[in-house]
Parts: sequence; structure tokens; C-alpha cells
Amino acid sequence: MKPARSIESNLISFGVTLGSLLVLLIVLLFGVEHALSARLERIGNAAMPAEHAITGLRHAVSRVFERQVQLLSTRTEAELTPLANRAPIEHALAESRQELRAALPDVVGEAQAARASAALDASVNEVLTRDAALFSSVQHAHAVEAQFDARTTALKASLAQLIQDANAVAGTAHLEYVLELRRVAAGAPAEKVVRGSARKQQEAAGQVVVAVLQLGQLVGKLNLASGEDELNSLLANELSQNLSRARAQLDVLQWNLEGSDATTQRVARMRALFEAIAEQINGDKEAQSLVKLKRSSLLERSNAATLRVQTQEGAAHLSDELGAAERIASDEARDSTRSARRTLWAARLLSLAALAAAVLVGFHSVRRLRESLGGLRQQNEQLASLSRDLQSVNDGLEHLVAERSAKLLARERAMRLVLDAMSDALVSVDLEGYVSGESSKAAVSWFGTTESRTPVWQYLFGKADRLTAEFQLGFAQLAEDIIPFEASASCMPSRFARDGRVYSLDYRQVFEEARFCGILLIIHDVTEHVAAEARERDAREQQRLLSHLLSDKLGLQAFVRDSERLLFALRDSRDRATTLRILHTLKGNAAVYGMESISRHCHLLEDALADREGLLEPAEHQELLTLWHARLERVAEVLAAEDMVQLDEDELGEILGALRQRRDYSEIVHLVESWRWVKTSAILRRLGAQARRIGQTLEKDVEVRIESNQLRVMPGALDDFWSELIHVVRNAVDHGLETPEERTQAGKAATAHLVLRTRLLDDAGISVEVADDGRGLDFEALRRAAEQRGVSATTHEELVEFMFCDGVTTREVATELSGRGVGLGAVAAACRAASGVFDVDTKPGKGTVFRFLFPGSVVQARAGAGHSTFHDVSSRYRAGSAGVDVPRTLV
Amino acid sequence: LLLSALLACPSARADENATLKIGMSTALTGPAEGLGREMRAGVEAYFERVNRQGGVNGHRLELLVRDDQYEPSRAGPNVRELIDRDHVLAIVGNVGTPTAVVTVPIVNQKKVPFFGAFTGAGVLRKTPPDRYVFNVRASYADETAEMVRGLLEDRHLDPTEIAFFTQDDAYGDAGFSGAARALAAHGFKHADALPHGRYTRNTEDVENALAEVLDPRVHPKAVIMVGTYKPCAKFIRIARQVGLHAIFANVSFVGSADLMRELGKDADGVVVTQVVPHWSADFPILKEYRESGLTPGFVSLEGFIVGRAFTEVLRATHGAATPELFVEAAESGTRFDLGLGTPQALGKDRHGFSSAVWPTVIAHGEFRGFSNWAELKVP
Repeated sequence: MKPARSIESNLISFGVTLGSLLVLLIVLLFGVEHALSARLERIGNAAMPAEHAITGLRHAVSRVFERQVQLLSTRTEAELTPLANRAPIEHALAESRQELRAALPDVVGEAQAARASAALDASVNEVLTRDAALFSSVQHAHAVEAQFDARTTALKASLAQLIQDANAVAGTAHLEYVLELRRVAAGAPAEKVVRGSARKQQEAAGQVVVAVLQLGQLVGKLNLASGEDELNSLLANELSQNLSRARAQLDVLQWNLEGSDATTQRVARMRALFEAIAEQINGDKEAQSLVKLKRSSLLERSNAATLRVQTQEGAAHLSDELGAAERIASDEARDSTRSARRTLWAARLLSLAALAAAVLVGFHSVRRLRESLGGLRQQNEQLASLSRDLQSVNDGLEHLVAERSAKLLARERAMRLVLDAMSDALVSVDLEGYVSGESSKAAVSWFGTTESRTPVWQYLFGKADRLTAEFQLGFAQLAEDIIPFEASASCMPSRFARDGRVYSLDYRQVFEEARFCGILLIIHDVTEHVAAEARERDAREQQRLLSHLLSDKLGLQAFVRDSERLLFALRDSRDRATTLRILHTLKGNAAVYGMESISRHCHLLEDALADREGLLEPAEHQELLTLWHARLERVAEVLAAEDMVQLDEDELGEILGALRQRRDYSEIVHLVESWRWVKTSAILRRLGAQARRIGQTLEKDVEVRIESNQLRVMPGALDDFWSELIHVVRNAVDHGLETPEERTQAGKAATAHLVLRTRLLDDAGISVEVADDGRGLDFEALRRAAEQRGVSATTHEELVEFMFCDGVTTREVATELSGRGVGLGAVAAACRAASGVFDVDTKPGKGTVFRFLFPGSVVQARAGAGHSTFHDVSSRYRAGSAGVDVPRTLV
Repeated sequence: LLLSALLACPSARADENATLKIGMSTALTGPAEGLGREMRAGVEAYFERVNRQGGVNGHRLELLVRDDQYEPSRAGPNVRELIDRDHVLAIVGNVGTPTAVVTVPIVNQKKVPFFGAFTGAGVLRKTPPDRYVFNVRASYADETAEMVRGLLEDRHLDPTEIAFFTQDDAYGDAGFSGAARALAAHGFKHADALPHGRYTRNTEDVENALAEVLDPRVHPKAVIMVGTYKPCAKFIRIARQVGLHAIFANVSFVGSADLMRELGKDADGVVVTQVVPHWSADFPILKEYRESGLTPGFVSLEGFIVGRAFTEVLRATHGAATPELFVEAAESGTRFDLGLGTPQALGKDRHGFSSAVWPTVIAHGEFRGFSNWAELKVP
């Protein structure tokens, strides 16, 4: 924990430092931004004046241009004079230059500004110088042109004068001529008109006029001459020609003069004027001759033009420079502004991005750090615990080893315990039948430890020879592995008892590498299970007893009474046949009343007696007796309760009818007394129920019909017989009736029929019949059995007699229910004891009827109300034989 | 400074308002200088009279006069200067047709009234009239038409008996064309075929013109003369010397007094038509003229009348005196009383105050008015 905390604190201090640095960075960036903004502002502030200055300069330069255009467009010095003052332009130029010089360094830097300023200054000065030169040139040109104009004007005036003079001379001559004509017209001689010179003077004067007019034109041409060449051409050709012609005409005029002095003088004056004009035009002596002036003017114009071109070039150059400067300034300003803005934005974005990144990274780092710290802490704790563990490991490695060994042992033990804890005992046996390997604890506790090479039957069964023999035989079959193991195993003993415990046996084939190498015996202690079964059985028996108690208390009482009598008889029996017969009867009766425990115990005793000579041991008898009492304990009280008389509705109706009819008193007494007599219907119903139960046990579908005919018999007379009659019923169901399959094969209805019937005989005797529609008695088999026993029996009567002997049976295996050849003997004995006779009618494949007849003197049977006619019963008996032709061998 | 400005402004305005500048470009030197000087004298005399009486609507009238030597090349610049530099309200009483020819486009362009020029040339009398050109006197055509009428109707001359002596310029042509129209009106359409001598302005070289008129093939009984007094005088003198006995009829522009003086003894019988009455006549204006102390003469009288006409229009101008308002006042239909009889109203189609012509003849050293040309005696 301590290092983690110090890491944390270190990290916190690191974070704080990082944060501080970030804040510092942001502050720094904002400082930069501020500085850049200031710079931008300064550039903006500087760029504007610079551009303003450049614009001013440009304006000034354009004014120079304008001025030059004006200069060149001037025609006179007077027009030029107002343009002489260049001061405003120079002032503007100087001002703009000053402004620019001041502003430029902020925009483009000192060095570049200085260079640009110097270049501009040079250009401006050049333009100004040239402008001055141009001005003076134009001025000079104007001066010359003014002189030229003045001279031209003078010349024109002179020429006009000359023309006027010539015209005047011509006019004078004309007038002279006209006047002469008028004199001639008035009659004067015509000689003067004809020979006079007036006409010739007039013509010559006219020619002079023409020449002078041409001269005037020439002066105009001179004036218009645009170049030296043209001027020279004019001089050389036209001027000299014209001058000479004019002179010639003047000569002609003078020659023809003969008039007044005035005219002579005027012509002389004309001549002088003409020469003066000629001199003024192109005289050598005349310094200010028209031609010289024109030459000078042309020269000046040419100079001015050159200068103007130069100035224009200079100005254009300047303009270019200004443009360049402007561009530079604006570009610079724009660029720097832009770049500064970009930088600014970049800085802002960068700072924001940095901030965001820092914040993100910070968050992320903090989170990660927290996680890491948490992990670190955990690791620390784990490390600490590990180190502690290590310490302890170091401290007692041996202990650990011992512990682990102990654990292994414990596991082994646990395994062992598991094995041992299993309720089943596992005993593995090799194919020779010797116990191999370790037996489970259960096996050890149940059967003891095994010594080497102990046969398993010896180990399991001890001295139980019979079981041992059986097991040995089966085991050999198992080990041979010829018959399928399961089949062989099913023949093996599945249950055995030892030391008061009951065990079940199960067999498993043991394979080793797919080879049958041994058998595992799984032995389960089923003692409790068996006991539980017994208890359950007891409970069932109890229930059945109670059921019988409720439905047929008298029957049950009779059964109990019979059974107890039989039990006493069994104790007192001194001969084996009687003992067996009693046991058998007891077994059958108990089965009829559902007392399976008694029935089974009787059966066991029968088995035990079958295996040995002699009678029952007192202990065995006592055991049976105890069982009986135990079984009857619950119902004993109810049974012991006061006897009741049961009436059905008919009997009640009968007695009520007799009373209302006020019958004979003795008759009514007889009637009431008869209520205590046994109703055959109850006995027959009880037997029927038993028959059905037996049928269910034997999986035979039996339909039982009871035909009691409302008979009552005197109690006590037939009690033994009723008890033994069950054997006949059982015999009929067990042996007489076929299984449904057998019946279907024999072409009969699957459901077998059994009829139990009592009939009143003429002498108030009773006939008891048990009829079935089974396979019939095999008299041949009876005869063979009689032969085997050394009894001579050939007739029907003899065979019937033999059949009713003890130990006679046609069945090969005795079952719990019948087949021991005991039952019919007991029935015959009881029948005879009550003075009765019996007979058997049988028809192979059709059925058998057992019939027992008791005389009225013994049974005093009587029919119930409304059913007491003898014949009716007889007819019913016949009708009820239902296709079974029973020969009346004995009535 | 403010105070001074406040003080200065009204005074300056008052000064400006107080004086109305009126320009004049005329011949103060050169052969026509007599005309120019007389004209100036007449206009100035009337303006002085008006100024003495308190001016027009409280405005003093100041006449700025420049010399153009009767040369168009000088008249144009003069007029431009007067308008552009001196900001004159109008150009009044200029002398000469050639000068007027260059002046009219200028005033039309500058929109400044050109008032009462001493010329009767048709260039000032277009139909319809130029907005800024106003005439006081009758036209040369009026004068020469009167001559033609008198010669043909009163004196019963044949048109072929009429010759022309004209100055070789717009003035001469104006007079000639007026006469030609009058002749045509009288049924003679060949005025160009009539004897016609021309002379150059500002010269006295009239011989050639004389030769044309004196040609033996023609016998003119009257010479209509449109020129200035010197050449006209020379022409008349020589013509008379060589025996041409004809009526020499001059238009008013000739400069009556100068002509008479120049001709001396040859002056008798020379006719000069006038656009103003003789100063001795009985018109209200003539009384004022006579009171003005001027040497009586037709030119100064014309100047005097021009001054009056101008003043009358100015008086009719409402509000500030501007060229436009002046023109509007002139064309407003107001009847202007020049003191020469019935007051006349101008309009958009009439910019001339008068078309009246008074013929005079020199007799015994003085001008005498006449009405019937038949009465004239040819020496």
C-alpha cells in the first residue's frame, strides 16, 4: 500500500505539474495570439497608410500625366503659363512619398522599404526632371511658335496688303481702262485704249495677286509642315518657284507702268514689301525667318515629343513601381495578415487541441492509473499473501508435503470409504469361482474377510449346502460363457439368507481388455426391504381382513373359527398326511381371506415338510400360531364383539308380511329363528370372490356366477365343508379353466365361466355345486396316477374316489394355491363328516361339475321368501347347467 | 473673421447687386472707330442718365467696352472675355456685321443677350429669331428696301438703272441681298446682273469697283452703297469727277457725319438712310438725347436709343437680373416705350424693336430728312 500511495501522490504531483504546464502553454499561446493580433493590427494600421500613400503617389503621378497632356495640348505660351506652377504636384508627391516612407517599413520591413522608397524616389525624381524638361521644351516650342505665328500673321498681313495693293493697282488700271473706254465712247480717239498699257497692267497685277495668293498658301503649307523633310521639300520646290514667279510678275507690272506716280510708288512699295516678305519667309539675313522659326519649332516639338515619351516611360515605370509597391504592400499586408491569422488560428486550434488532448489524455491516464493502482494494490495484496504463503511454505515445506500425503491418503480413504460406504457388497470372483481382489467393506462386514483362494459360494453361503450346490452349478455355466451371460445369470440364485439377513445377488461380467476375466457379484442387503415388504403385506392383509369383516363378518368369523380349529388340529396331529392336509386347508382358507402371510407361511412349512420326514416341529407350529395371532390381533376385537343377525330387505319384508297377515305364531317364530341360519349366498359370494382373485393371480379371465337360491342352512353342520370347499374352487380355476389363449385356440370364448350354486333338495337337504366350462378332467391321467400309486381305479366312481384322496394331483408343479393333491382330500373328508356325498361330472373340452349333496336331516336347509319351491330350484339347476351335460352319477 | 465675413457678405452682394455689368465690343480704333466711339458715347450717355436717376431696380449700370477694331478675329475673344471673365449681363451696342457674325454663335452658346448691335445685317434677324439676339434698329434690308422702293416707286427708275457699291463682306452682302429681295419684290429678279462694285473692307481701293459701275456699257442713275464712309466718299468723289451723275444712297451704317465731312463740297445730294429719326425731330427720346450733351449724330442717337431699349427691358425684368430672366422679360409681351412713338412689344417671333427707316439727304452741310425720293436733285 505504501508504494502505491506514493505512486499516486507522485502521479498527482505529476498531473499538477502537467496541468500547470498546460496552463502555462495556454497562457503562452494567448500571449502569442495577443502579440500576433497586435502585429496584425500594426500591419493593418501600417498597410492602410502605405496604400493611401501609394494611392496619393499614383494620384500625383496621374496629375503629372495630366499636366503633361495639358502641356502638350497648349498652343500658346499664355495657355502654358498657368501650368508653370508645378508646386502643388511636387508637394503632393513629396507628401505621399513621405507618408509611404513612413508607412512602408511596418509593412515590408526596413530594408525592403528603404529599397522600395529609394527606387520610388529615383523614379519620381526622374519623372519630375523630365517633366521640367518637357515644360521648358514646350515653353520654348510655344515661344518659337508664337514668333512663328506672329511672323505668319505679319506675313499674312503683308501678303494681304500685297494682294490689296496688287488688286488696287489692277483696279486702278481697270478704272483707267474703263475711263478710256468712256472717253472713246464719248468720241475721243481709241489709240490709248488699244495701245495703252492699262490692260497689261491689269493682267500683270492680276498675276501678282495670283502669285501672292499662292505665296500665302505656301506660308500656310509651311505652317502646316509636320517635318523637316516636308519643310525642305516645300522650300526647295514650291517656295523658290513661287517667289521667282511672283518677282517676275512684279517685274512685268513695273515694266508696264506708265501711269501716275502714285501707282509707280505703290508698285515700288509692293516690290519692297514682297522682298521683305520673301526675306521674312526664308531670308538668309533674317534670323527670325519663318522657315528658321518653323525649323526651330519642329525641333522643339520633336524634343517635346521625345521628352514626353521619356516622361511617359518614366511615369509608366513609376506607375509600375507604384503598382509593384502597392502590390507588395497589399500582398505583404494580406499575406502577413493571412499568415498571421492562420498562425493565430493554428495557434488557437493547436492550443485547444493540445488542451483537449491533454484533458483527454489526463482523464484517460487518471482512469488507467486508477485501474492500474487498483490492480497494483491487488497485486500487492496478492504478493503480500504470496510472500506470506511463501514464508509459511518456507517455514514448513515438509508439513505441506505431509499434508498433501495426508490428503492423498484421505482421498484414498475417501475412495475406500465410498467403496465401503456403499450399501452393496462388491465381491469380484475369477472364472474358477475364487474370490479375487479386495472385497468391499460391506462384504467384509457381512461375510468376513477372505483368505486366499476362497470359493465364493463358501464365502457367501457358508454351510448352506443346497444353495452352494445350486450356485456352483450355475457358476460353472456362467464361467463357460456359452449361454448368454444374462440368461445364465437369471438361473443363478438371486437371493439368499445368512445370519438372519436377506441378501440379493446380482451378477456382472468383468472384462479386462475385452476378455471375459471374471464376475463381479453385487450383493445387496435386502433384509429391510423384505421386512418392509412383509410389513406392507401385513398391512394389505389387515386391510383385507377388515374388508371381509365389514362385508361378511359371519364369514370371517367362520373362517377364524375354522382356522383356529385347524391350528389346534395341526398341533395335535400325529400323522404326516393330516398335518399336510391341515396345512393345505389353512393355506387355502387364508388365501381366500387374503391372509397371504399365513398362506405363505403354510406353504413354507409344506416346503419344509416336503424336504424332510416326520411332523412339524413345535417351534414351527408355534411360529405359525404366533403369526396367526399377530395377524388377527387387529380384527380380534371386532370379531369378538357380540354376534349380530343380518337381515336383508326381502327377509324383513317377509317377516313384516307374515306379521300383517297374522300368520301362525309358530310359523313366524320359525321364520325369525331362520335368521340365525347361514345364508348360502354369502358363502358362495365369498368363494366367488376367491375364485376371481385366484383367476387374477393365474392371469385367467373368470366370470363367476352365484346361484344361491335364497337358501339358509342350519349353522354348524356344514362349517368344515364350507372351509374345505375352497380347494374345489381353486382346483377348478387352477386346473379346470384354461388361460384365455388356450380357450381362444380351442375355439371358446376367452372369458371362462364358473358357477357356484346351492339348491334346496326335496328333503330340505342341500346340493352344493361348482361348475366350470374348462378343459374337463383327464381321467386317463388319473388312472395313470392311480396305477403309479398302486391303487386300482378304473370306473368313474373309483377314479372320483381316487381323485379325492390326499396327495393326488395331475399337476406336475404344486403352486401356492393348489396342486399339492391335498385340497380335494380335505373336501371329501369334510363332506363325509357332514354325511354328504359327492360326485364329479366332466366332459373333455366342455367343463366339469363338482357336486356335494347333504341330507335335510343334517343341514335343514330352507329357501328364502318366495323362492322356496323345490321344483323351481330343480328346473333352475337344469337350466343353469348351460350346456354342460353333467352325468348324475351320484345324487 | 466671422464678423468680417458677415459684414463683408452683404456689402459684397450689395456691391454686386448694385452694379450690373453690360459688355460692349466695338471699334474704338481703325477705319470704323468713329462708329464705335459714337455708339459707346450714346449707350454710356443713356446709362449715365439712368444711373443718375438711381439705376434700374436699384442697380447701377456699368458698360464694359473693348476695342475690336471692327475685326471679327478680335470681336470673338472680346465677347468671350466679357462673358466669361466679366460676367456681363448682356452684350450691348456692338458695331459691325462681320463682328456680329462671330459674336452671335458665341452669345447663343453662352446664353447671353446680344442687344442692339449697330448693324442691320440679316444674321441678327433670323426667322424665327435667335433667343438671345435683340435688335433695336431696322435692318440693312429694311434700309436698302426703302432705297429700292424710293428709287423705283418715287423716282420711277428702271431696275437696270440701279448699281451697287458694296463692301466685299457680310455687311455689303446683307445690304445687297435686302435690295435684291426688294427688287425681286418689284419684279426684277436679276439683281446679280446689275453693275456691282465691291471693295475690300478697311481699304479705299475702290477703283476696281468704280470701273465696274462706270463701265460704258451701263448707265446707272442710282448707286446703292453699302460700305463705310471713307471708301464711299472716295467712290462718290471719283464717280462725280468722271461725270457719273447718279443718286448715291448710303445705308445708315456708313456713318453719316463722317461721310459728310469726308465728302466736303461733294456731299450735297448724297442720300443716307437712317434707322433713327433726326435728332431734331419731335420724339420724347430725342429731347432726352439733346439734353444729354452729346454732339448730335445718328450713331450716338442710336446708342442712346439702344441704351433706353435695354434699360426698358431691364426694368421689366423681375428679380435678379440674369440673362434668362432678361430674355423672358423681353419676350413677355410687355410694351416697351422707346420714346419713338408707339411702344412696341416683342415676342418669341419678334426680337426687333424697330423696322423704321428715315431717309436723309445731305444738303448744305447738314442732313435733311425727306420722304419722297422724287424730290431729290442730282447735281
